[in-house]
Amino acid sequence: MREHPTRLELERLSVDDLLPPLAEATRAHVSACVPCSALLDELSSSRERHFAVRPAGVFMDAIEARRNKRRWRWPLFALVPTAAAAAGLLLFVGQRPDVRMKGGGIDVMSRRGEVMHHLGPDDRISAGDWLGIAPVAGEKTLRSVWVVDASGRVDALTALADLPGSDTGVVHSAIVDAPCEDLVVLASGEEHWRQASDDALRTAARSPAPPSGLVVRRLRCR
Amino acid sequence: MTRDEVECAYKRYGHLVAARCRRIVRNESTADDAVQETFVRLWRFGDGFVAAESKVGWLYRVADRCCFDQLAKQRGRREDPIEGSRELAGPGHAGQALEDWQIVRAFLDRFDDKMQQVAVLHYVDEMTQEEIAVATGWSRQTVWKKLQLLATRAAALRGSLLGAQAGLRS
Repeated sequence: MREHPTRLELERLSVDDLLPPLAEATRAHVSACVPCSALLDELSSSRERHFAVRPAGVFMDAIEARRNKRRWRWPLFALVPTAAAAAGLLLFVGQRPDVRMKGGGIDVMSRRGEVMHHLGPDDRISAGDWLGIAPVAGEKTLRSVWVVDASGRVDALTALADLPGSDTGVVHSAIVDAPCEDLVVLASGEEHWRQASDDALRTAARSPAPPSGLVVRRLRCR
Repeated sequence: MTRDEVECAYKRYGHLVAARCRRIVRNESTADDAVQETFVRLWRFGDGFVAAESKVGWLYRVADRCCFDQLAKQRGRREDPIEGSRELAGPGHAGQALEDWQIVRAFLDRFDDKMQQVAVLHYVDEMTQEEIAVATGWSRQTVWKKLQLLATRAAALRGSLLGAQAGLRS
Protein backbone atom coordinates (compact mmCIF):
# COMPACT_ATOMS: atom_id res chain seq x y z
CA MET A 1 0.00 0.00 0.00
CA ARG A 2 1.38 3.40 -0.95
CA GLU A 3 1.52 6.29 1.45
CA HIS A 4 0.74 8.75 -1.37
CA PRO A 5 -0.65 8.54 -4.88
CA THR A 6 2.11 8.51 -7.51
CA ARG A 7 2.98 11.67 -9.35
CA LEU A 8 1.48 10.09 -12.46
CA GLU A 9 -1.83 9.54 -10.66
CA LEU A 10 -1.87 13.15 -9.46
CA GLU A 11 -1.08 14.39 -12.96
CA ARG A 12 -3.89 12.27 -14.37
CA LEU A 13 -6.24 13.50 -11.63
CA SER A 14 -5.43 17.11 -12.55
CA VAL A 15 -6.82 16.58 -16.06
CA ASP A 16 -9.67 14.19 -15.16
CA ASP A 17 -7.88 11.22 -16.71
CA LEU A 18 -8.39 8.79 -13.81
CA LEU A 19 -11.20 6.27 -13.79
CA PRO A 20 -13.94 7.21 -11.31
CA PRO A 21 -13.15 4.82 -8.42
CA LEU A 22 -9.44 5.72 -8.40
CA ALA A 23 -10.24 9.39 -8.95
CA GLU A 24 -12.50 9.45 -5.90
CA ALA A 25 -9.94 7.68 -3.72
CA THR A 26 -7.17 9.99 -4.91
CA ARG A 27 -9.28 13.10 -4.34
CA ALA A 28 -10.09 11.91 -0.85
CA HIS A 29 -6.38 11.45 -0.14
CA VAL A 30 -5.42 14.82 -1.60
CA SER A 31 -8.00 16.66 0.45
CA ALA A 32 -6.25 15.48 3.60
CA CYS A 33 -2.64 15.52 2.39
CA VAL A 34 -0.63 18.73 2.34
CA PRO A 35 2.22 17.55 0.02
CA CYS A 36 -0.19 16.05 -2.54
CA SER A 37 -2.41 19.10 -2.42
CA ALA A 38 0.67 21.28 -2.93
CA LEU A 39 1.71 19.21 -5.94
CA LEU A 40 -1.75 19.59 -7.49
CA ASP A 41 -1.51 23.36 -6.95
CA GLU A 42 1.94 23.32 -8.56
CA LEU A 43 0.54 21.44 -11.57
CA SER A 44 -2.15 24.06 -11.91
CA SER A 45 0.31 26.95 -11.85
CA SER A 46 2.73 25.14 -14.16
CA ARG A 47 -0.16 24.83 -16.61
CA GLU A 48 -0.68 28.60 -16.54
CA ARG A 49 3.04 29.25 -16.96
CA HIS A 50 3.29 26.81 -19.83
CA PHE A 51 0.46 28.27 -21.89
CA ALA A 52 1.60 31.82 -21.22
CA VAL A 53 4.88 30.98 -22.97
CA ARG A 54 3.61 28.41 -25.49
CA PRO A 55 0.08 29.38 -26.51
CA ALA A 56 -1.95 26.83 -28.42
CA GLY A 57 -2.15 28.82 -31.67
CA VAL A 58 1.61 29.25 -31.97
CA PHE A 59 2.22 25.64 -30.99
CA MET A 60 -0.24 24.32 -33.56
CA ASP A 61 1.33 26.41 -36.33
CA ALA A 62 4.73 24.99 -35.36
CA ILE A 63 3.62 21.37 -35.42
CA GLU A 64 1.68 21.85 -38.64
CA ALA A 65 4.84 23.17 -40.28
CA ARG A 66 6.80 20.27 -38.82
CA ARG A 67 4.22 17.81 -40.09
CA ASN A 68 4.27 19.28 -43.58
CA LYS A 69 8.05 19.42 -43.64
CA ARG A 70 8.23 15.76 -42.67
CA ARG A 71 5.64 14.66 -45.15
CA TRP A 72 7.29 16.16 -48.17
CA ARG A 73 10.77 16.32 -46.78
CA TRP A 74 13.98 16.17 -48.72
CA PRO A 75 16.11 13.72 -46.85
CA LEU A 76 19.79 14.22 -47.59
CA PHE A 77 20.24 10.50 -48.07
CA ALA A 78 17.72 10.65 -50.88
CA LEU A 79 19.44 13.41 -52.81
CA VAL A 80 21.54 11.10 -54.97
CA PRO A 81 18.71 8.70 -55.90
CA THR A 82 16.43 11.70 -56.26
CA ALA A 83 18.78 13.31 -58.74
CA ALA A 84 19.04 9.98 -60.56
CA ALA A 85 15.27 9.66 -60.65
CA ALA A 86 14.96 13.24 -61.93
CA ALA A 87 17.42 12.40 -64.67
CA GLY A 88 15.37 9.30 -65.45
CA LEU A 89 12.23 11.39 -65.63
CA LEU A 90 14.00 13.86 -67.88
CA LEU A 91 15.01 11.06 -70.21
CA PHE A 92 11.55 9.57 -70.02
CA VAL A 93 9.85 12.84 -70.91
CA GLY A 94 12.50 13.54 -73.52
CA GLN A 95 12.03 10.17 -75.18
CA ARG A 96 8.29 10.45 -75.38
CA PRO A 97 7.40 13.22 -77.79
CA ASP A 98 3.75 12.27 -77.47
CA VAL A 99 3.92 13.05 -73.77
CA ARG A 100 6.37 15.90 -73.78
CA MET A 101 4.36 18.83 -74.91
CA LYS A 102 1.20 17.60 -76.50
CA GLY A 103 -1.67 18.77 -74.35
CA GLY A 104 -1.68 18.97 -70.57
CA GLY A 105 -0.96 16.29 -68.05
CA ILE A 106 1.10 15.29 -65.04
CA ASP A 107 3.73 12.64 -65.47
CA VAL A 108 4.70 10.79 -62.34
CA MET A 109 7.69 8.56 -61.76
CA SER A 110 7.68 6.35 -58.71
CA ARG A 111 10.83 5.07 -57.06
CA ARG A 112 10.69 2.42 -54.37
CA GLY A 113 13.97 0.95 -53.22
CA GLU A 114 16.04 0.51 -56.33
CA VAL A 115 13.08 0.20 -58.66
CA MET A 116 11.86 3.21 -60.60
CA HIS A 117 8.97 3.20 -62.99
CA HIS A 118 6.50 5.46 -64.69
CA LEU A 119 3.14 5.48 -62.95
CA GLY A 120 0.42 4.51 -65.39
CA PRO A 121 -3.25 5.39 -64.92
CA ASP A 122 -3.96 2.15 -63.06
CA ASP A 123 -0.78 2.06 -60.97
CA ARG A 124 -0.97 2.66 -57.25
CA ILE A 125 1.31 4.40 -54.77
CA SER A 126 2.55 3.14 -51.40
CA ALA A 127 3.89 4.72 -48.25
CA GLY A 128 7.57 5.50 -48.65
CA ASP A 129 7.46 5.86 -52.44
CA TRP A 130 9.49 8.71 -53.87
CA LEU A 131 7.48 10.53 -56.51
CA GLY A 132 8.96 12.64 -59.26
CA ILE A 133 6.21 14.83 -60.63
CA ALA A 134 6.48 16.61 -63.98
CA PRO A 135 3.48 18.66 -65.08
CA VAL A 136 3.42 19.20 -68.81
CA ALA A 137 1.02 21.55 -70.59
CA GLY A 138 1.74 22.49 -74.14
CA GLU A 139 3.29 25.89 -74.34
CA LYS A 140 2.80 26.69 -70.68
CA THR A 141 5.17 25.90 -67.87
CA LEU A 142 3.36 24.68 -64.78
CA ARG A 143 5.50 25.91 -61.93
CA SER A 144 2.87 25.76 -59.19
CA VAL A 145 2.25 22.25 -57.99
CA TRP A 146 0.31 21.10 -54.95
CA VAL A 147 -0.62 17.77 -53.43
CA VAL A 148 -3.94 17.44 -51.62
CA ASP A 149 -4.35 14.30 -49.53
CA ALA A 150 -7.55 12.43 -48.67
CA SER A 151 -7.74 14.30 -45.36
CA GLY A 152 -7.78 17.62 -47.19
CA ARG A 153 -4.26 18.68 -46.29
CA VAL A 154 -2.62 20.83 -48.93
CA ASP A 155 1.14 20.87 -49.57
CA ALA A 156 2.85 23.11 -52.07
CA LEU A 157 5.73 21.23 -53.68
CA THR A 158 9.14 22.68 -54.35
CA ALA A 159 10.69 22.29 -57.78
CA LEU A 160 13.54 19.80 -57.87
CA ALA A 161 15.08 20.68 -61.21
CA ASP A 162 14.35 22.51 -64.39
CA LEU A 163 14.19 20.29 -67.40
CA PRO A 164 16.02 21.67 -70.40
CA GLY A 165 14.02 23.79 -72.79
CA SER A 166 11.59 26.51 -71.90
CA ASP A 167 8.53 24.44 -72.61
CA THR A 168 9.20 21.34 -70.60
CA GLY A 169 8.33 22.53 -67.14
CA VAL A 170 10.00 21.39 -63.95
CA VAL A 171 10.26 18.27 -61.83
CA HIS A 172 8.83 18.29 -58.35
CA SER A 173 9.43 15.72 -55.69
CA ALA A 174 7.47 14.20 -52.86
CA ILE A 175 7.65 11.20 -50.56
CA VAL A 176 4.43 9.39 -49.74
CA ASP A 177 3.85 9.42 -46.02
CA ALA A 178 2.78 6.49 -43.84
CA PRO A 179 0.01 5.53 -43.66
CA CYS A 180 -0.57 6.07 -47.35
CA GLU A 181 -3.46 8.33 -48.32
CA ASP A 182 -4.88 8.86 -51.78
CA LEU A 183 -3.39 12.02 -53.28
CA VAL A 184 -4.54 14.54 -55.83
CA VAL A 185 -1.76 16.39 -57.65
CA LEU A 186 -2.73 19.82 -58.92
CA ALA A 187 -0.61 21.95 -61.22
CA SER A 188 -1.06 25.33 -62.80
CA GLY A 189 0.89 27.99 -64.62
CA GLU A 190 -1.68 30.69 -64.02
CA GLU A 191 -1.15 33.50 -61.58
CA HIS A 192 -4.61 33.35 -59.98
CA TRP A 193 -4.09 29.68 -59.10
CA ARG A 194 -0.62 30.45 -57.70
CA GLN A 195 -2.37 32.79 -55.26
CA ALA A 196 -5.20 30.34 -54.52
CA SER A 197 -6.19 29.54 -50.95
CA ASP A 198 -5.97 26.04 -49.52
CA ASP A 199 -9.78 25.89 -49.48
CA ALA A 200 -9.93 26.63 -53.19
CA LEU A 201 -7.33 23.93 -53.87
CA ARG A 202 -9.22 21.42 -51.71
CA THR A 203 -12.42 22.18 -53.60
CA ALA A 204 -10.58 21.80 -56.93
CA ALA A 205 -9.15 18.47 -55.78
CA ARG A 206 -12.61 17.15 -54.95
CA SER A 207 -14.15 18.41 -58.17
CA PRO A 208 -14.92 15.57 -60.63
CA ALA A 209 -13.84 17.79 -63.57
CA PRO A 210 -10.60 19.82 -63.50
CA PRO A 211 -11.33 23.54 -63.05
CA SER A 212 -10.10 25.87 -65.75
CA GLY A 213 -6.37 26.55 -65.57
CA LEU A 214 -5.60 23.49 -63.44
CA VAL A 215 -4.17 20.14 -64.45
CA VAL A 216 -5.16 17.31 -62.12
CA ARG A 217 -3.76 13.83 -61.53
CA ARG A 218 -5.22 11.42 -58.98
CA LEU A 219 -2.93 8.90 -57.28
CA ARG A 220 -4.48 6.04 -55.38
CA CYS A 221 -2.89 3.94 -52.65
CA ARG A 222 -2.41 0.21 -53.02
CA MET B 1 -7.33 13.51 -36.13
CA THR B 2 -8.17 17.04 -37.17
CA ARG B 3 -6.15 20.10 -36.26
CA ASP B 4 -8.91 21.20 -33.87
CA GLU B 5 -8.84 17.87 -32.06
CA VAL B 6 -5.06 18.01 -31.70
CA GLU B 7 -5.28 21.59 -30.44
CA CYS B 8 -7.90 20.53 -27.93
CA ALA B 9 -5.61 17.74 -26.71
CA TYR B 10 -2.69 20.18 -26.46
CA LYS B 11 -4.73 22.65 -24.41
CA ARG B 12 -5.68 19.91 -22.01
CA TYR B 13 -2.50 17.85 -21.73
CA GLY B 14 0.28 19.93 -23.30
CA HIS B 15 1.70 21.27 -20.04
CA LEU B 16 1.96 17.76 -18.59
CA VAL B 17 3.70 16.39 -21.68
CA ALA B 18 6.11 19.34 -21.67
CA ALA B 19 6.97 18.84 -17.99
CA ARG B 20 7.58 15.15 -18.57
CA CYS B 21 9.83 15.80 -21.55
CA ARG B 22 11.83 18.32 -19.52
CA ARG B 23 12.24 15.77 -16.75
CA ILE B 24 13.63 13.23 -19.19
CA VAL B 25 15.80 15.23 -21.59
CA ARG B 26 17.02 17.98 -19.21
CA ASN B 27 17.07 20.69 -21.82
CA GLU B 28 14.35 23.21 -22.69
CA SER B 29 14.80 23.32 -26.45
CA THR B 30 15.21 19.56 -26.73
CA ALA B 31 12.09 19.12 -24.61
CA ASP B 32 10.19 21.54 -26.87
CA ASP B 33 11.24 19.45 -29.86
CA ALA B 34 10.05 16.27 -28.16
CA VAL B 35 6.70 17.87 -27.25
CA GLN B 36 6.15 19.01 -30.82
CA GLU B 37 7.05 15.57 -32.13
CA THR B 38 4.65 13.97 -29.65
CA PHE B 39 1.75 16.03 -30.93
CA VAL B 40 2.76 15.50 -34.57
CA ARG B 41 2.50 11.78 -33.88
CA LEU B 42 -0.83 12.32 -32.16
CA TRP B 43 -2.03 14.10 -35.30
CA ARG B 44 -0.86 11.27 -37.53
CA PHE B 45 -1.73 8.28 -35.36
CA GLY B 46 -4.59 9.63 -33.25
CA ASP B 47 -6.72 6.49 -33.42
CA GLY B 48 -4.73 4.91 -30.59
CA PHE B 49 -5.19 8.02 -28.49
CA VAL B 50 -8.93 8.10 -29.07
CA ALA B 51 -9.22 4.45 -28.05
CA ALA B 52 -6.89 4.72 -25.06
CA GLU B 53 -8.39 4.42 -21.60
CA SER B 54 -5.80 6.85 -20.29
CA LYS B 55 -5.09 9.74 -22.64
CA VAL B 56 -2.22 10.88 -20.42
CA GLY B 57 -0.74 7.39 -20.43
CA TRP B 58 -0.88 7.22 -24.24
CA LEU B 59 0.71 10.64 -24.65
CA TYR B 60 3.40 9.84 -22.09
CA ARG B 61 4.42 6.64 -23.88
CA VAL B 62 4.73 8.57 -27.13
CA ALA B 63 6.54 11.45 -25.40
CA ASP B 64 8.99 9.00 -23.77
CA ARG B 65 9.78 7.56 -27.18
CA CYS B 66 10.27 11.03 -28.65
CA CYS B 67 12.55 11.99 -25.75
CA PHE B 68 14.64 8.83 -26.17
CA ASP B 69 14.91 9.59 -29.89
CA GLN B 70 16.10 13.10 -29.10
CA LEU B 71 18.64 11.72 -26.63
CA ALA B 72 19.85 9.22 -29.20
CA LYS B 73 20.34 12.06 -31.69
CA GLN B 74 22.42 13.90 -29.15
CA ARG B 75 24.44 10.92 -28.06
CA GLY B 76 27.95 12.02 -27.24
CA ARG B 77 26.83 15.59 -26.61
CA ARG B 78 26.29 16.65 -23.00
CA GLU B 79 23.70 19.27 -22.10
CA ASP B 80 23.36 21.51 -19.10
CA PRO B 81 20.89 20.36 -16.49
CA ILE B 82 17.60 22.20 -16.19
CA GLU B 83 17.21 24.38 -13.14
CA GLY B 84 14.55 23.50 -10.60
CA SER B 85 14.99 19.78 -10.41
CA ARG B 86 12.69 19.66 -7.40
CA GLU B 87 9.86 19.11 -9.87
CA LEU B 88 11.25 15.61 -10.28
CA ALA B 89 10.00 14.54 -6.92
CA GLY B 90 6.45 13.51 -6.25
CA PRO B 91 5.21 13.32 -2.67
CA GLY B 92 6.26 9.68 -2.38
CA HIS B 93 9.80 10.07 -3.66
CA ALA B 94 12.41 8.78 -1.24
CA GLY B 95 15.69 10.68 -1.16
CA GLN B 96 17.79 7.77 -2.42
CA ALA B 97 15.41 7.07 -5.30
CA LEU B 98 15.53 10.72 -6.32
CA GLU B 99 19.31 10.72 -6.17
CA ASP B 100 19.45 7.51 -8.22
CA TRP B 101 17.08 8.98 -10.79
CA GLN B 102 19.14 12.15 -11.09
CA ILE B 103 22.22 10.05 -11.78
CA VAL B 104 20.44 7.65 -14.13
CA ARG B 105 18.82 10.60 -15.93
CA ALA B 106 22.20 12.22 -16.48
CA PHE B 107 23.31 9.10 -18.31
CA LEU B 108 19.96 7.96 -19.71
CA ASP B 109 21.20 8.08 -23.29
CA ARG B 110 23.78 5.42 -22.45
CA PHE B 111 21.12 2.81 -21.64
CA ASP B 112 19.29 0.69 -24.19
CA ASP B 113 15.62 1.26 -25.03
CA LYS B 114 14.25 -1.20 -22.48
CA MET B 115 16.39 0.17 -19.69
CA GLN B 116 15.30 3.69 -20.56
CA GLN B 117 11.67 2.66 -20.42
CA VAL B 118 12.09 0.90 -17.09
CA ALA B 119 14.00 3.89 -15.70
CA VAL B 120 11.24 6.32 -16.65
CA LEU B 121 8.42 4.09 -15.42
CA HIS B 122 10.18 3.48 -12.12
CA TYR B 123 11.71 6.85 -11.34
CA VAL B 124 9.38 9.27 -13.10
CA ASP B 125 6.07 7.43 -12.85
CA GLU B 126 7.01 5.83 -9.51
CA MET B 127 5.58 2.52 -10.64
CA THR B 128 6.21 -0.61 -8.62
CA GLN B 129 7.82 -3.68 -10.18
CA GLU B 130 4.38 -5.27 -10.58
CA GLU B 131 2.98 -2.17 -12.27
CA ILE B 132 5.96 -1.96 -14.64
CA ALA B 133 5.54 -5.66 -15.47
CA VAL B 134 1.88 -5.04 -16.35
CA ALA B 135 2.66 -1.89 -18.35
CA THR B 136 5.46 -3.48 -20.38
CA GLY B 137 4.32 -7.09 -20.61
CA TRP B 138 7.63 -8.28 -19.15
CA SER B 139 7.89 -10.70 -16.27
CA ARG B 140 8.37 -9.30 -12.81
CA GLN B 141 11.71 -11.11 -12.71
CA THR B 142 12.88 -9.26 -15.84
CA VAL B 143 11.78 -5.95 -14.39
CA TRP B 144 13.54 -6.73 -11.11
CA LYS B 145 16.76 -7.56 -12.97
CA LYS B 146 16.65 -4.34 -14.93
CA LEU B 147 16.00 -2.27 -11.82
CA GLN B 148 18.88 -4.01 -10.08
CA LEU B 149 21.12 -3.26 -13.05
CA LEU B 150 19.99 0.38 -13.02
CA ALA B 151 20.72 0.67 -9.30
CA THR B 152 24.13 -0.94 -9.77
CA ARG B 153 25.01 1.38 -12.61
CA ALA B 154 23.73 4.38 -10.67
CA ALA B 155 25.97 3.38 -7.76
CA ALA B 156 28.95 2.96 -10.09
CA LEU B 157 28.26 6.29 -11.74
CA ARG B 158 27.88 7.94 -8.33
CA GLY B 159 31.24 6.46 -7.34
CA SER B 160 32.84 7.76 -10.54
CA LEU B 161 31.39 11.23 -9.98
CA LEU B 162 32.54 11.35 -6.36
CA GLY B 163 35.97 10.12 -7.42
CA ALA B 164 36.16 12.81 -10.07
CA GLN B 165 35.10 15.49 -7.54
CA ALA B 166 37.72 14.29 -5.07
CA GLY B 167 40.32 14.37 -7.84
CA LEU B 168 39.38 17.94 -8.64
CA ARG B 169 39.67 19.03 -4.97
CA SER B 170 43.07 17.46 -4.43
